[in-house]
Amino acid sequence: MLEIRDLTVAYGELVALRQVSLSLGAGELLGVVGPNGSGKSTLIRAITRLVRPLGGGIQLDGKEVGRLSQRELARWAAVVPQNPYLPDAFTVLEVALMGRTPHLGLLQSEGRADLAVVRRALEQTDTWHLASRRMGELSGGERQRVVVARALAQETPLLLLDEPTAHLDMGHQAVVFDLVRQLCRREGKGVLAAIHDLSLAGQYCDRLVMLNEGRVVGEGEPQEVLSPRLLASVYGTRVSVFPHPLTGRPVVTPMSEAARSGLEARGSVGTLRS
Amino acid sequence: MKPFDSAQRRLFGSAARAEPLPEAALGALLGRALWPRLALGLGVLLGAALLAAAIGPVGIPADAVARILLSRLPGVSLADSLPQSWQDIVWEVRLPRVVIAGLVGATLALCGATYQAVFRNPLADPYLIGVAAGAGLGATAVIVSPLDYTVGGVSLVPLAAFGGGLTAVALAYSLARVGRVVPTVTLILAGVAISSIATSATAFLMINHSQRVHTTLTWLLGGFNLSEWSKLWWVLPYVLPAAAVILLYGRILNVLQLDEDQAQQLGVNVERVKLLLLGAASLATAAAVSVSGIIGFVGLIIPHAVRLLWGPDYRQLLPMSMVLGAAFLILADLLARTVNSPSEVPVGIITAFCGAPFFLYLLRLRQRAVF
Amino acid sequence: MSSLVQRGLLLLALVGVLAAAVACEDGGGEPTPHAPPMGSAAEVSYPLTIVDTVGREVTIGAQPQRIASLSPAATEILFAIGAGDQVIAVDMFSNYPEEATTRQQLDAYEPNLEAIAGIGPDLVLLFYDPGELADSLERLGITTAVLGSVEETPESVEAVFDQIGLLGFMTDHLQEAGDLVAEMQDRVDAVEEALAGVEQGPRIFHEVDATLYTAAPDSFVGGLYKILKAQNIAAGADQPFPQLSQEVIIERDPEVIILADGAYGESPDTVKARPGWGNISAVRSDRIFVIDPDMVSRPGPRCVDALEALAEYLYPERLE
Repeated sequence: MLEIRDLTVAYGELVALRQVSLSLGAGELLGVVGPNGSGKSTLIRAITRLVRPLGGGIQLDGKEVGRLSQRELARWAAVVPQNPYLPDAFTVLEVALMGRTPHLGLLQSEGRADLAVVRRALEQTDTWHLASRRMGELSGGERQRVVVARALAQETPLLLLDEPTAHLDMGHQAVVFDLVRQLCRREGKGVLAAIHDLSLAGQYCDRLVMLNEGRVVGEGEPQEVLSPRLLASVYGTRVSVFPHPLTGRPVVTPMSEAARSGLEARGSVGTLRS
Repeated sequence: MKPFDSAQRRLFGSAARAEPLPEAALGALLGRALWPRLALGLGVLLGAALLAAAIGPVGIPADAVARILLSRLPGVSLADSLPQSWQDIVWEVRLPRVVIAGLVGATLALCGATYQAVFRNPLADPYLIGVAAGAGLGATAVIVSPLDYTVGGVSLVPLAAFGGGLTAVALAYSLARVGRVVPTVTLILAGVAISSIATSATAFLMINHSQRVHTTLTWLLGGFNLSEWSKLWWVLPYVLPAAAVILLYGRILNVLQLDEDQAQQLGVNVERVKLLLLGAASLATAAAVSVSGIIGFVGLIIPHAVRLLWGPDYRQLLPMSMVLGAAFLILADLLARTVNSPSEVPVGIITAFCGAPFFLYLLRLRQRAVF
Repeated sequence: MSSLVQRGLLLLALVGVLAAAVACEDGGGEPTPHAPPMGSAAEVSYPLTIVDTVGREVTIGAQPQRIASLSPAATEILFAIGAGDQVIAVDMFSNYPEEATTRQQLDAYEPNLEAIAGIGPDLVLLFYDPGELADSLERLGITTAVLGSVEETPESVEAVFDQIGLLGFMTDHLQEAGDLVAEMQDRVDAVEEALAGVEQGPRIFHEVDATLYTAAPDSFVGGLYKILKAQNIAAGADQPFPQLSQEVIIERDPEVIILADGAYGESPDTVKARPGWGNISAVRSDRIFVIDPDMVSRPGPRCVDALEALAEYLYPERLE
């Protein structure tokens, strides 16, 4: 569905992405991981044409993104941005309904069908009970879930999530990612998610792409990409990776000072069994 | 998912039982209810207009006014016994004044709301990027020049004001442009810069032609003393199409209240919408200012008052601002011509004096964030 | 009242004023400029001291030969009493007589201290003092007199006579001053005599500019209309130059309209074309006249010309 070839993006002198290539198919949950400043947000901005690439191309179902109109693009891809500004005075329902914008003509207003879509999206993110509340009255986590609902209401085949669970507690993190994975499996949506939390990425994503300083440094299944050696070189710190007892998927934790000295004491350096 | 409490069940009715929502509940949830509010607003406007037609520095009894107005209908002649001066005053002086004041008030309020929406700034008013300063400079230049005011039947001062206003905005826009994007903060800064240059030039002209100071100051402070029906045709051709365009974009303006990135990602062509709406609003404002001078406060305060009363949805904010803006300026003009009779007080002074306390009062009623 | 008695009373008034001023030498009391009786053979001897209209005592050491006049009215008076040759600089609005325009130009509203001092005047005349200009000039040793500020424009023709006398005194042209005042007084008397039988004159509207600013009875122009016994429709306003509401003008139905804004494109035709004005008496009977604004509002020798012109407009049957 989504094909990115040799994408290079720069902000003036600063090169944010260098020759990045990746692909995403329908029904896939692709995680983009990497340290701060590695280019994850820029990638998403480039896909939605908020920045112009210096080189390379982005294709949605074979069509160059640059050739689509703003509206067509919005019907293809919905974004959940990282820290979006949300006006305090609008209600949750009003903000969620804004997700229907790409489907409404200039003279049209939201109708019953639109409300049904939005309601379902709000229910899925556990925010329907907040429908008549104003955005200014919500907590950070509730606001984030409303933004996710808005993106769902956009009814697009592709979802781009930029740190979608940064402010959420564990329970709601699970709700969101379970929902996202369900959308992939049952509705065939393609999801590209920039994720900070490596364990979360490891648990949920079908594939991972690791970026470092704008370049792709790893690509493949979570077990492959989340290797201690790669992580140590990218993040500059030793980490522990071990399999989840139930799912077998990798769980990553930074290695504490104590653990590191314990390791040296025992005389073993280097790889841990993953 | 949390179960609904009784209040929520009442509000959402059948929705709480996961059935399709009836149309009425949809409207209530969205808080739109436009038509009843509009009817109320129009009622207030009509009341203000009738009051302003009936009261003035010349005391004409209300029934005489009614008879004069009704006699305008074909076949009706109830006013034959009334003095000609009364008929002239009501039809040629007061009524055009009321209509033009209403039109200007509606325009300023609509454009103020539009500017506040596009700039996402509660301090924006329709003069933000230079219309007022440019118009003032144009008008002052003509007033102090040795030119006649009327050349070939066309009055020069409003023309110069209109041209000056549009030129200032165009300059600010082109200064702020970076490639194909016009960042709003840059546009505001450019507008402020152009405004200060224009204002200083105006002051310079006034000082150097001090014998015309009184006339220029009166123009700058705004007034409807010289209203006549022909001036309506200067304003309508610009205001009507501009207002139509802006009203169409009500829903899009709501979306624009997210930041520009999000609006773009939701499919809105942000730069084009900004250009279109700012252009329409500037055009309408320049036309209004050319006929009435620079009347402050209306464009800033009326949209906020509407927001405080009925919320931020631009689909109702825009039409309600127009209606309330018209009523407000009609009443302000009524005060301007009666409070210091037989002299006229510039209406801009009245709007400032009356607007501020009214707004503070509204603010105290509803002390929650409404932007 | 006959002109002889009037003239005598005027002299008496001047003497009285002189006495009063002598009695209050410290500047307490009315700041009235004083001068010896005009037209008298009294010699003017220098140095002399006068009190100007803001209460400053001004001492003039010798007959001024290099006068800078920043007051258009004072300029007209100086030239009319034969002191024109003693004037070396005038302000931008001193446009009468023709000869005055040949003098060097200065700015009266935003006076430049250096520019004034640079000319080397021995007497500076101001009609209004923006921020202690007079004091600054005095500190440079330049004699300065303030003759009637903008707010205190003389309200009557008599006050103009006082100014003429004062300037005659200051410049040693007392004889000419007296003659001028006498001639002006005669003309005023003639007008008043012609109007002796009039109880009440016509209703008038004096238009200062196209935004309907007018001159109320307590302005200088208003004073002229008072002499003419006209009913100024701006009566009742609380300032000398109010802006009238259109409604009020139509309702009060002036019989004569005087336009002082002819220079800005207003004319009887433009007035007749104003919507709603068609039934005003002045419009119906075509009694709309244009007058030179300088002549009619400047408290100088031409105010009598203005009075005569206005009298003709208002009472065409009485004065041909």
